[in-house]
Amino acid sequence: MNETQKDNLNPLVHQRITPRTRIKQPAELDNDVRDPFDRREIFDLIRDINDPEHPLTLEDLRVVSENDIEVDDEKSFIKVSFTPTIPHCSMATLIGLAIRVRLLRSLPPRFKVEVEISPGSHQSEKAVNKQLGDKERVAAALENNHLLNVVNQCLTIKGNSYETTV
Amino acid sequence: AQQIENREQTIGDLVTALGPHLTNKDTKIRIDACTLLSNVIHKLPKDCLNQGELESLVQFLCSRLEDHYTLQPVALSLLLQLSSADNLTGENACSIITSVFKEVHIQTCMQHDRLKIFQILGTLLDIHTKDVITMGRDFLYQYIQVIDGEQDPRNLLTIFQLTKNLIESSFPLFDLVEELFDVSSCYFPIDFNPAAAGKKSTITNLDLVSSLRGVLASTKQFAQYCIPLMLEKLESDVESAKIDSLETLTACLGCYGKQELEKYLSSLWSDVKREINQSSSEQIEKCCLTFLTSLLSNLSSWPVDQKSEKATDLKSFLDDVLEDCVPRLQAQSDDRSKWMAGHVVLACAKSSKKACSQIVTTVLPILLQNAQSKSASTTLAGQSVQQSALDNLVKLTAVCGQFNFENHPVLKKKEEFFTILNELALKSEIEEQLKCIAVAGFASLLKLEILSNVELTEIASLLLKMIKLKPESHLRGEVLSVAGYLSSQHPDVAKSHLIPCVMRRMEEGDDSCFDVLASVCTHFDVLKLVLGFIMERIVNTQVDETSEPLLHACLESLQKMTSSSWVGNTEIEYMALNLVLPLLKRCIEVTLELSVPEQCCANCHIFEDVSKSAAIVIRNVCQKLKPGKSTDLVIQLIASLYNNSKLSSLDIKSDVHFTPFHPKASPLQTRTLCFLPATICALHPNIEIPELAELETKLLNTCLHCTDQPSYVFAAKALSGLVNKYKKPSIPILEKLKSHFDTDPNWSLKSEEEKMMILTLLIWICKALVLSNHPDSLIFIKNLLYWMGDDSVGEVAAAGFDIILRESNEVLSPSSHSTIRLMHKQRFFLLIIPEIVSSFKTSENKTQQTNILTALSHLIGHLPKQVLMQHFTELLPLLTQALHTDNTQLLKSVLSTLFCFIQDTTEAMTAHLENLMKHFLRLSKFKQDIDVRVKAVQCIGVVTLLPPIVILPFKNDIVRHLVSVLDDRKRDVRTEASKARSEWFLVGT
Repeated sequence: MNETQKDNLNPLVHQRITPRTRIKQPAELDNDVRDPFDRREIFDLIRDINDPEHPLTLEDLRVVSENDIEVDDEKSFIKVSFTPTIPHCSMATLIGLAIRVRLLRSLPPRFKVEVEISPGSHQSEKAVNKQLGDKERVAAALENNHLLNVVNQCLTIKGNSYETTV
Repeated sequence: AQQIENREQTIGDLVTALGPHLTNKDTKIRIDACTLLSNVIHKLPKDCLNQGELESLVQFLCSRLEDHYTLQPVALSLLLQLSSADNLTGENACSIITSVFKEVHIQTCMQHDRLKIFQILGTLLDIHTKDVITMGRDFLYQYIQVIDGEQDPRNLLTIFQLTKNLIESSFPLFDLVEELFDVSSCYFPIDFNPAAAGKKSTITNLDLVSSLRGVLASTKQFAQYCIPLMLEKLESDVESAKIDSLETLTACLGCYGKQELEKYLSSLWSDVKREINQSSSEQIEKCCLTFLTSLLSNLSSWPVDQKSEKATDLKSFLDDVLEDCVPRLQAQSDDRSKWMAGHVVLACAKSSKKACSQIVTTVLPILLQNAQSKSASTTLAGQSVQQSALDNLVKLTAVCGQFNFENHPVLKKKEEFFTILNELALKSEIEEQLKCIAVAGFASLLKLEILSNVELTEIASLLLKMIKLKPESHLRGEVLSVAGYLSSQHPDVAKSHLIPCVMRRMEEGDDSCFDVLASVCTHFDVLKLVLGFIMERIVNTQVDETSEPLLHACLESLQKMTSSSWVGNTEIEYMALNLVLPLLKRCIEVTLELSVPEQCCANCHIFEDVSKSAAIVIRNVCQKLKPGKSTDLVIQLIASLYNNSKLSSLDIKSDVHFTPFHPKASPLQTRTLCFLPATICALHPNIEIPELAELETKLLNTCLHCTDQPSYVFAAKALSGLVNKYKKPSIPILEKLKSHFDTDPNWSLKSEEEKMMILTLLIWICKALVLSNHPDSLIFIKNLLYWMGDDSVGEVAAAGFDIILRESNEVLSPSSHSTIRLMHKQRFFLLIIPEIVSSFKTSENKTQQTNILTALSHLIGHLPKQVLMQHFTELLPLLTQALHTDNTQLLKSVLSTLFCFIQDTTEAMTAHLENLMKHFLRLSKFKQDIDVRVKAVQCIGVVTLLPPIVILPFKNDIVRHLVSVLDDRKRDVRTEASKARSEWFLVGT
């Protein structure tokens, strides 16, 4: 992607609010207690997605934040709203697709996931939401190898995430 | 060559023999002949050739230089060898130099030839300095021409060294100073990147920079060129150039004096000021401050014109500095410029006594005023002003501590300073941090040694008051360390004031002051006083529930005293006599009181804890004891107490018999064996222990027959400590042990309790032997492996591997002077691994197999990865076997090991991968334990690091399998699963 093609040349980089490491509750160490899915867990899944244009994560650009996530574990429902950095961002669909794919890969299939642009933050909000909400279109998009590669790039966490831990 | 060395043949003969070849018309043959000659000479020792031979050789070679240019390299290397010959005359040296300069067109030579030339020049200059100097201006002129335009870093390094040597050998520079400076300084500032240069050179940027700096700072004659150049480079935008020029200037100050610097003083200050105020980098600031400090110390050593009325140079320079800094220091705001001004002032003060005194007189009142400011308590800004002023005050006084004043500059303001600190320290509403600074202020005042006795006592009582306020731990630590410093410098004040106060308070029932007592023990006299006080309390206290906290507090403060690094030899000996013996005596007295059957009650377990911490105190002292008379006395008393059950040796009067080794004695008595590892096993190996063999036999007896668990563990520890340290005297006891383990056939019939006793002994003996790389270790370890097959104690035997490799504080630690060989863990591993593998294979006993695997996992946990890597192929089948068990602990450790190794041992892995993956997938649903699941999923994830071609076949299976793990009950597992699954999705894309 060329420098000239970027929609937002100089995006504002925000401070990270949610701490990186999660402090474990005693119940989480107990094998017999079930930990419910919560907002933080979903946020941890999507915070490190790379922005398609910049070498920054969605968290850095505050495209996603912990408060824009709704989780209902019992009804198996999750809704993620994201805010593009500028209202005419042409990457909004791609970002939405990346979030969707990440959640598709990381959540058990019982969950119904909605990914939407937060109200009033994009010009063609409705069109994008419709695209992202349409299962068939998402599936069709992922059949496209080029698009899949772009999405995979967004989802790659700077090399293999196991390299640093070993 | 041998012949020439032995004088059988002269070099002349060789040359004559080579004659036809050396003068052959074909250049190639001439080169070959010269190379041969060079090889011969290379083998000769330096003093072999005599003057005549050398002279003719030199003449010959110099004429060869005129010859065909292809001959030059060989001739040069020959000359290089000759130049270091001992018998070379100065004349010849000069002729070499002249002909080299004359005949060789150096700039067109190859890099290594140029290097040779510089090396020839270097060696000749080193050896024949005088003769070279007589060559005078011509040499220098040629030299400058020769080194001009050199580019190779290797050669440059040699040149810089050469130039520096040249200048330092006081070679007259004539009118060529500027030329010589130019030819070197044109490289400044050096920015050399070895990686970018693409050569595998070992030269770093730092090497070049520092050697060039050496040249530039080598003579004051360069000053008039060097200072302006540096000032110019200081204005550059490149950070490294700024730093380099500042550091070079600092280096130059070493040889510059008044004459050189006077002209530039004002521009130096203004430039440095600019850098300090504008800089964005911490390092530049640091360099500036260092430069200032060394500039000022240089200034301070300038000759002072006594008669003139004018202020000295130092004073006027400092006036300039202060004129700039004082307004900024006075400002009622707290910003960077103020902060920097503080640093500048401190840097100046650091330089010399005179500077320090002038600065203190000017700055101290300002700072004091700021620190007192009324607005401090009301506004936030005022507070920070106060804090920074106080901070600077403390630092400034700390700087004053470096110098020895006759008329101390702080003296005048001492009282004012003192009251400020006093107020601050006691005010309740101010911040902790400010108080800390105030306390540090006391410490720096103490260091100046200008306080009167009254003031010292005041400080002492103030510190006590502060402790009474029960401050937070950080401040408390600060106060305690100042109190410790006070008592180390003024023990009489501590004795007359601090300690009585604390003691009085403790007698009133306040037990929170034990750490105060412990921390003021920084002087022998104080130590004696405090020790006596604490011991008295211990001895006079009954062991029961109410006194337990008090006893523990006492022992804790004793621990602190004994483990402090300050304690020296005298103090340790004093403690051995006045602490160890009474404490031991008291413990044994209590034991005897309690071991009368009707007395044994609920207090026993309290006493056990107390004696444990008493053992720590005793061990601290014993570890530090050096061989000597009083040490011998202590040891003799302890040994006779245990060996001969002589209570009288510690002056204990009791009707009860003391029989610590008797298996049927009261457990309380046998448990006093815990003092043996603390005393006898902790001693320096040079201290002789009386009746060692008898002691060992008795310990062995206890190990084998006493049924009280703590007692036989203590005995085993003590025995292992002795066996490890005293190798020779312990041979008989080892033999006895060997035969005991070998010949006791019906061990399987024994009760579990008895087995445990023997096993404990075996494990500790193994540890002792393994640590010292003892040749017999394998015999005992084999026994240990054998025991792993036992149903009742096999698990303990496996856990023994952990004990063997884990560091223990009690015995067999480096501080107890045990024999601990380097790499003993690695040796142990190499020794044991074939045994483990073979006994695992041959064993048909399921329990033994599991236990061996557990032992293996302990072993792996203690060893560095590199060692394991080499044996991984052998280990892998065992580890795979281990995945079959249900033992959570074992699974965890095996999985972590595999996690570490999967990516490093690709080849070994691929063969077992399918099998391993099956296990991982199964264990990722292991119900009993989260950690096992987490680790299994991590292993699945880390497999993605293997080459895609190997793992691609598994992709679909794993992605499908992990779906169910994504809905695991535990969040940790889910997180790992989603991580692993995302990575697996990316495999092959």
